Amino acid sequence: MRRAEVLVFLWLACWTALAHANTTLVDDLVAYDFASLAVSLGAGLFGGLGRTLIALLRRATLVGDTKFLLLRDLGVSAVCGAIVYVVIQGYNETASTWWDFPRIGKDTRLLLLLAAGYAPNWAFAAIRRGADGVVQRAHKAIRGTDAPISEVAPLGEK
Amino acid sequence: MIHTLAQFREYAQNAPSLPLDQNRAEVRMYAAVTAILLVLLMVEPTVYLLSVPESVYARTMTISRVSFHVIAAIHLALVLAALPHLTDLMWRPHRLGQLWPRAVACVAAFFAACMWLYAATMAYPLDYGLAWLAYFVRAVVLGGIAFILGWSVNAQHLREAADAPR
Repeated sequence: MRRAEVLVFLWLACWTALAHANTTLVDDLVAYDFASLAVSLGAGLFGGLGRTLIALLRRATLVGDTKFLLLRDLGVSAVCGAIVYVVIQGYNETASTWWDFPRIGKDTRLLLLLAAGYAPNWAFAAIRRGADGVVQRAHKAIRGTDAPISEVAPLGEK
Repeated sequence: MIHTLAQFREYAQNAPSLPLDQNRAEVRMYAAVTAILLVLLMVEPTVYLLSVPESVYARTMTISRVSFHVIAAIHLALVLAALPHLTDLMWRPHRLGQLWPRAVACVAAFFAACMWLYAATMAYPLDYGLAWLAYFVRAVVLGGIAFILGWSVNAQHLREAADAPR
């Protein structure tokens, strides 16, 4: 049975229409603006880094395990930055055809991606909850205890 | 003047710049290397923006709608914000317990990283080869320095909270 499936797969792979579609897809992908995408991804990640820095600098929030906090914030900001990047690109493609709205320039897009990477609590709350769960499970699997990331410092009598 | 051993010990306790404890002096100098790198990464664009008229960086940063004076003022402010921490490390180590120089340098490093990201975004469509990649690498390095400074501030917060009298 397995030999027949392999042969059918090989025959399908050599089908000229499929091969032509694959190579033209590669051509289109190579022509894509990957450098701009990389810089936009970096902008989203820098928004997450800003959120981690604010948590580190505030006296009211004590961070126990900075690595996990940083990874959680970078993960959330990567997802939120990708969402906002896709929304902005879609808006740019349709803005001139549907209405007379202006295109979003590169500098404005950078600011929007930084803000999306920062991802305030009231926005993207579901993504943050999911990322918190992933971080807690990973810490439990690696260290055996709960991750000591605290949002409010246990300030005693000072 | 120091005449007795007790006076010498008291002076040494208040002046950690003396290389009695070689570890502490070495750690301070390594931290000074990071602070020097931070200042250098901000001084270099300021020099190129203000005094090298046809440089690639000046041309990249002046094509936006923001006024040139605002951009130059931001550059100078970022350079000045990184200096207190550097002077504390090099010449006044007894003031290293203060938090505000490190916090100010951390915020300045983060804004400088965002500025280099902006330069990378602006430089990419222009025909300057891999200049955008160089700016992007500098932004990443400044992000790392900002993280190091914030981590140090948080460590001091933890120590102070742990040592606080209950």
